[in-house]
Amino acid sequence: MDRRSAIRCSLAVTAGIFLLPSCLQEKRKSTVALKNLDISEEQESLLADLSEAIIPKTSSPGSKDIASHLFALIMVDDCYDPDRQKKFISGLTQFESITKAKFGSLFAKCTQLQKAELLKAMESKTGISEDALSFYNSMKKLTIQSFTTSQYFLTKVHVYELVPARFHGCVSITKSN
Amino acid sequence: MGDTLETRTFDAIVIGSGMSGGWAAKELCEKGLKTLVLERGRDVKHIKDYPTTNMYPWEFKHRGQVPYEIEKANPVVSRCYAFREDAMHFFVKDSDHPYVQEKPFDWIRGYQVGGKSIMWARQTQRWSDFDFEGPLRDGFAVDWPLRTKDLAPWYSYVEKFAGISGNKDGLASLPDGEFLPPMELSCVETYFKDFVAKKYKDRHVIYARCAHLTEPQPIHLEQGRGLCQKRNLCQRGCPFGGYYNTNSTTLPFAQKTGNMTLRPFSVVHSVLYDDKKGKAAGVRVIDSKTKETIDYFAKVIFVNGGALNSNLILLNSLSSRFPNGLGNENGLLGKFVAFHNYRARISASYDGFKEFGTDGRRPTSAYIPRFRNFFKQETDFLRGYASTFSGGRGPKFPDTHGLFGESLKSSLSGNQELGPWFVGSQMMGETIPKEINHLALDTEKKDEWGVPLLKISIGYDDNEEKMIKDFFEQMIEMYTAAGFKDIKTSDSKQAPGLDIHEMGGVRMGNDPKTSLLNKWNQMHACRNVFVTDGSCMTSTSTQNPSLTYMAFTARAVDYAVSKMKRNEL
Repeated sequence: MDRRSAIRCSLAVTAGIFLLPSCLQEKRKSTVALKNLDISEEQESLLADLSEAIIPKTSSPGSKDIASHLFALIMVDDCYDPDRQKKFISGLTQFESITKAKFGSLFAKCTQLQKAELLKAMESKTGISEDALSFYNSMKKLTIQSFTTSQYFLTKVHVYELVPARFHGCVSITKSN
Repeated sequence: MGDTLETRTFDAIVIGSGMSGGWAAKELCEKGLKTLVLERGRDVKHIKDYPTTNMYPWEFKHRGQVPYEIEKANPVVSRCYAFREDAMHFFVKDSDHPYVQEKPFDWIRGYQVGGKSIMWARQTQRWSDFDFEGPLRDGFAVDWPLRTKDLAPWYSYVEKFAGISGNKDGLASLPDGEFLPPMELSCVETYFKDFVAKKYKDRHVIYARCAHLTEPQPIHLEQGRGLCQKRNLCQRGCPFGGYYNTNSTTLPFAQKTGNMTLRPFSVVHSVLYDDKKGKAAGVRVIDSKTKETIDYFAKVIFVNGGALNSNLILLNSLSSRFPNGLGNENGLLGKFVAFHNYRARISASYDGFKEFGTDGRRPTSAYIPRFRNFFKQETDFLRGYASTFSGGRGPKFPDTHGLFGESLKSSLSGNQELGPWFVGSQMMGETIPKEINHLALDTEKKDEWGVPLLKISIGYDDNEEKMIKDFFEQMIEMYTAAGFKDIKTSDSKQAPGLDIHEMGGVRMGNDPKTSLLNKWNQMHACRNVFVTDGSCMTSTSTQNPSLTYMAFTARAVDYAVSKMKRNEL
């Protein structure tokens, strides 16, 4: 049980409220409002950590800085059809199982090396279940999309011009372009 | 507000505020007529009501993609290339406005002030006599009751006001217009243009002619519009007024005369016919929000509801004189509907110009006017096709296979290498209007305003299939000869309608026995009703039709008003 749930439960006890078993098992919902997916706080943390492992913070912002995992959740919730959504959730669960089987802990608690080893296994595709692979590939694609369409990327890395004010059809390419 | 017969009586009524309705409104108002402009959708004021126009990519919740629930509920409009997160609020949802497909037909609509002039692709070309004489020469439809010389001054008139960019190419196939400077072609487009000119006597690759202000003239500045900024986000509505739409151009001019009454949320049920007087009396409106029925009256009616909607309204306008629809003495109303064949595409890459790229963006490209069966019939199908031609070069998306972490990040962030030049063309084929391609009113189903649903029965035929085959053969030959590689063709097999160039049903012609409108777009059998949108088209030729609708409208208003002034309507 995480700390917040523990505090709530102990407050309930202090207040004399009968401690219901469900309090011990309660899973918090995700921080972004979802219509179709049922994502726990724990699962959301996994997505955040996975996104960060895919595109990490370096001297420039990474996935957690731009909340790529929340973008990914919104896209899966709004733009995936029900079958694809089911596959995503099943893949997410399998991904955690694989992690537990390999390193005996949740992805969040793995070391950098362990995370890298896991992602390398995903990239190699060997011996990974179809749903887990599909989940990983979806998260990678969505993380890349979030990163490359973010305000940071489009204003500092590959600058997007809302108003080009020009079109030149045949210009010599120089090194500085 | 007093609702009296007087407050509901005008000199003119215009049904529809889109591409052609906006022109009717402006011309009628400028000629001093108190004009009621009826629009079934909401008002859209230029700039103020373009909610997405200045949004950056990251500000779109789904980065442009349409959510699954919306796509599922609206399969028809979801097929339209412009139905994306930045412009879908301007398109009609299937679920809100049902219709009956007796054969598959994608009816794409924009119900708001400005109509589809907000989202259109802004391509504009004039008709020549090779187009107007098509039916007569090739033996289909009926002879057009006018020729290029009748419309040429009106093309000039609307082009100057709207602002059309293009090059004077001196081609018989595509008359030159009043042009603002053309936009640049890319390296490969210029190359292909020169190549085709050398290799073929009668084939040309030209600067696409389009409704963009590349050099605003005093009239455009007076309209409050400015230089096109090459954003290529036109479907959102343009904060610079860089392209032509009703909202930025014609309607404000109608408004400032003080003669226009714009009534949005007005579904037109029918045109009212006065059997005693032998002319149209006005229009029956159903308020789209309150469902209240309100009759408006006028001396002249302009029907500009959009090709299929104008048919629907006229078919629903019943009277003792016209039990089968207004002006429909010959039973041809709703028949001989046609469209443009947009199914065929070709793409390829080009190895040349490795040291060159493009800079900036643009909202147009190049165009290949019709060349098949042009001077004479020469193939096993009738008529021909125009085509787009576009050649561009964009950044290569890095190969991210196997990459994650810092290496993925740097590969995405690194200097962008340019990919190869890609070229492509899409066919725009003329289709032959046939009696079996028709519209009718559903006898049982009605929409939420009590108007019968439209039954659409339009299909492809053998001529279309042969034309697609010929397009592929000709383009493959041209592309191969030009040295383009990896040539791929595709037939989208899309339903008619997705071209969004449906036309006909209220066709023009000399003979009242075989047509509904005369050379002035005036109903043969009801002289104070004019129809100047796509429904009036006797044949489709290969041009993007909006410019022709504008010219027809300005000319018809001029005629109508001159007749009214002499009490001859």
